[in-house]
Amino acid sequence: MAQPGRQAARAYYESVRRAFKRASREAGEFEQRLQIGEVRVKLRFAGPGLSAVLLPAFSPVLQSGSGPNDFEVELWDEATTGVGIPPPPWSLRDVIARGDIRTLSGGRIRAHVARGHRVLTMWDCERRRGIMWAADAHRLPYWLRAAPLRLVLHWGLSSPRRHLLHAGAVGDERSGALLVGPNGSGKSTTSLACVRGGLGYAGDDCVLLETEPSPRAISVYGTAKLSAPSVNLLPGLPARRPSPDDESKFIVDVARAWPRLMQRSVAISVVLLPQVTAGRVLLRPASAAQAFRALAPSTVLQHADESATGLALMSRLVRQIPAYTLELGSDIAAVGPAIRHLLEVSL
Amino acid sequence: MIHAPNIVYETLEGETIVIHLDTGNYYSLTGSGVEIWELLEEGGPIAQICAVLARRHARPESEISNTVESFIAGLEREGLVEAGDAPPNGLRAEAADPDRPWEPPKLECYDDMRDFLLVDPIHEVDQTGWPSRKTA
Repeated sequence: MAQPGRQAARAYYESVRRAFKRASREAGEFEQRLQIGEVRVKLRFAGPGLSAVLLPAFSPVLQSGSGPNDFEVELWDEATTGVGIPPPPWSLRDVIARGDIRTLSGGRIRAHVARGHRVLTMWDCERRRGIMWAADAHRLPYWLRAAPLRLVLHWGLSSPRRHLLHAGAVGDERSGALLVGPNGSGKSTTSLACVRGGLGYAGDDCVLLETEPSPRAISVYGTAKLSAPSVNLLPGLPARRPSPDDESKFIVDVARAWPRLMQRSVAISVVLLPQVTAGRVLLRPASAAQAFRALAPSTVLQHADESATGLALMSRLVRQIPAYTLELGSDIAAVGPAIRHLLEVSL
Repeated sequence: MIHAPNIVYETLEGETIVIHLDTGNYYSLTGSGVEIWELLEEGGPIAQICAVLARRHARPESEISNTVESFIAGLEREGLVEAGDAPPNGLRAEAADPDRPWEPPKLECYDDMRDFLLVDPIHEVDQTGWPSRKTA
């Protein structure tokens, strides 16, 4: 017999879906397809609010045409459709630290709220269908604009041979580098330094790992997120502030600024652990355990579901691929050539 | 003692990396900490774990028991293990292995992932359940 909490989760999920259908009737519906590696995703937007804000980040994976999908997501915002969600059934203590709603998750339904923002994301594991509702598309935080639907994509894309990673990737289909480390370690700075040096780009802090037939990083977003000090390190970047109120964060639309360097996927031939240092750029061999420590915790803590499968994939990857610490040094222009040389000798 | 439910872990190259999904802390277990962690997977009284390790490494139990107990107490303080049932048939006895020298267990904690878990569920959720940032 289903547990009462799980029945309540399904009932709430269905009531949120009915709200989406109402928003769709009242504000019109727009469909957009994505192709992420081999996976096809259908996004169904009710009203224009979220599509205008979320789709620019997906520019490298936008797909025209119709056909079967691996999963679909229904999205709308209340500000432009006038349709809200039913009163939240969770209470003060039900939302755990990552934003997961304890009382609505654990069975067929997953539910999550964005911290500090009125954004609800739900997923039906059986029907493979996601929902995203936001109070106001134009008040979404910068990370949801630069890397939208990360959680739904994690739920939909995870499999025994695929996992969304907290990592960047540069290079091309023959040879590439996976950039791993916690926030602030230099993944985005390194990615953009490589782009300025003419290397291909697949992402700065979120890529899809596919392990078969050989490890590769698949691009999900065409944007990169940078802090103000990183923008100062890379003068002349087409970086824009996502919000006039926040001077500390910037988004760079890599797909628009360097369309020829945008890669659908990158072969993973080395794993790099960037570290902000002074002096000159330096590569040093790192152990598989070091690489795992740099990659796994931040990936797992962003998406705790499916963590056992994800850990196994990440463990296999770091055992298979050589890893290096990358001391960035004070001459950022030297980083791209150093990585290019490493990738050439790794072929 | 047995592994706590809210953790995930992986062992590579003689190092076990344990991630606590609720606190965001992650841990490196090295030396005989890897073996102790494996024995804790089966569950069992600490005395049995000490006995297995003493036999395996051909050491007097009295020589290693304080270190092992202190290491497991550290794991418990960090919420990585908790009280659990002993395995019904006890831990498997092993012969001494001269190729596995005794190395004291080491536990290192990394807390640089706390940024991922900014919201305190008790103090940073409004009355309707929506998480909100704590005001300064």
